[in-house]
Formats: sequence, structure tokens, C-alpha cells
Amino acid sequence: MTVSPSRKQPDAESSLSTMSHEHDHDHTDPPSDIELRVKALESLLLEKGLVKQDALNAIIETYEHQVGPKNGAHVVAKAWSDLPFKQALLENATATVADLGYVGRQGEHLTVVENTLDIHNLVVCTLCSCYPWTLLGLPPVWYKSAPYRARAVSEPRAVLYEFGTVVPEHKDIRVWDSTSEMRYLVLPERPAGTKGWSESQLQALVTRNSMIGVELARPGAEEVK
Amino acid sequence: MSLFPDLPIENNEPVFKEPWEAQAFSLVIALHEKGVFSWDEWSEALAKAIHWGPHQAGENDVVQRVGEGLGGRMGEKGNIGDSYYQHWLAALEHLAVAKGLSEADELAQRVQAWREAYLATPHGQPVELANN
Repeated sequence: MTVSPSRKQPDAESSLSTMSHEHDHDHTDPPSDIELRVKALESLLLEKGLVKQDALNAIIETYEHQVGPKNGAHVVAKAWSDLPFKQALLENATATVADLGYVGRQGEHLTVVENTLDIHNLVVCTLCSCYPWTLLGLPPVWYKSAPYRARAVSEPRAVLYEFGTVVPEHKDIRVWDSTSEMRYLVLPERPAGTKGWSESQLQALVTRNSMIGVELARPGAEEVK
Repeated sequence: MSLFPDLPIENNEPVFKEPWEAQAFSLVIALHEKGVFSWDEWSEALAKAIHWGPHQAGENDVVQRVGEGLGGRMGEKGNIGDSYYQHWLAALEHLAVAKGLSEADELAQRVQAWREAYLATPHGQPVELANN
């Protein structure tokens, strides 16, 4: 086994020399005041039994697909079709997606990590639910759950297996821990059987889960027919 | 949907710019389903909050008066689409207090407790409230 779940990848490895965020502090920057107010109210209402977590999850799940991951799928499909774009994306994702109009509202940075023949990337937020929502919409409920947050780090291969994703033994699995300052998006491998496909055809293969890294992109031509 | 005046809508569905907006939305739907308030009461509270605006430290802003107030990045919104869920949250806080679900002090203390929980949590570990 060559699993190497490194929660915090060194920045040097991801060409982020321009980023100045600090990973070593021994506290966590609180979210904005308005997010704290929502958390405060929600936690009080839950404790008092006035609302149930399941009910809230169900309501949010109903709507989470509405925002949806189509922005992220656009970015991935473009990276699959346009090599210079892909290189720019991997070097400076924040600026590159901003050129497409996808700008985080709180100034958070984005890093895109590429799945290759040797590396499979998986994104988690061990802290809470930091998520590149300008690209992927609202985070799914499981992403916010304590088991996923813990197990994605301690046993990523097992978590992937539960999503139906079998990562070959020879592949390294890298786990990226999102923060309020840095969000990660997985660039899945382009599926086989998609030679000559247009960007919009490709886009249809890019699922939300594939950009979190718990699944692969949908298969190309052979299997689809 | 006149119940929710000015609700940001796309393809007949509410749209959320940030996850907290969806959280605030889900709380209102869940409390209504539980019969805590009627839609008439809700739309009245929301209309008032929108009318008062997000900067007015009025009686509707139960937490804002005690806490640090809305941060800078919340403060310069011109149109209702951007600030809609700020009003939504103010209305929800107001109704929660009016209906006796919570008190302004309790809400403000809880905001502070979460803030401290974040500040006390080493980076990379789940943030949980200590003793509740």
C-alpha cells in the first residue's frame, strides 16, 4: 500500500509560491459574523429540539442541486480540452477561474489538484465544511458529516471504496484539507473514449463527486452506448 | 412566491450564493413546518426586516447590537439580491425571540461561544462547542 494521506500538502508542491496563507497557526479563523449568527441560531434550535438535523438536511438537499456543480464542470471540461488553460489552472487556479467569472465572495483561494495515472486526489474539510461552492454549489450532507471528515484522512481508500471507487494499489492517494482560506477542486482524469468530444459533451461527464475526488468522471463513449 | 418578497429565484427555485443562506432558509422552512409561525407572520417579519435594512441597529437585530455587528464585507451591499438573506436572518432572529424560542442574550452569547470555539481549535481539527 502506498497510501499517503498528507492532510496539509506543502505549498511548494502545488506551485503556490504566491500564496501567503499560513497553515501553522494553532487556531482556526472564525467565519464571518453572519455565518456565526446562523450557526448560533441553528445550534440553539437543534439543542432545544425545535428543529431536527435530518429535516434541515432534507430541505438543503432539495436545493443543493439547484446551485449545482455546473460551474466546476465547465472548468474541468475546459481544462480537458485546452492545454494552456489547464496549465494556467494548475499554476494559479484562483486567477484562472476568476477569468471565467467564478470569484469567491470571501477572497478565498482555490487550488486545483490533478488526478493522474499515479495520483488520486481527495478533498475534505476536517474542520467543518469549507467547500469551493462558487464552483460546486452547496456541499452535500455527507461532506459535512463527522465520519467523512475524520475517515477521509485516516482511511481514504476505504472511504473511496464505499463510494464505489476502487483506486489501484499503485496509485497514491492525496488528501487535501480545505480551510476558510484555501479550497480545493479535483481535476479528474479525462475518461477514455472521449476523443474529439466538444467541451459541452465533456461537461456532462463531470460530476460533483468527481470534483471532490470521491468518484471518477463518468465513462466516455464505449460504456455509454 | 409573494410569501417571500424579492426571494432570489432561478428556474423557479431559490438560489443561494453561500451555504449559510441555505442554512438560514432551511431553518425557516423547518420552523414553519413545525408550526412555530405562520407564513403570514413570517412574511410580515421579513418585510419589516427588509424595510429596516441591514444597517439599522433596531430591535430586529438582536445579535448585531451585542456582537461586533456585520463585518465589512457585508456592509456595502446595494441591491436586495445581495442582502436578501441578511434580512432573512434578521427576521428569523427577531421571530425566534418574539416566539420565545430564544433570547437576544442567549443568541449573542452563542455567537461568541462559536467564535471562541474557532479561535481555540487548532487548525485542521473539527470545531465543536465545548460544553453545551
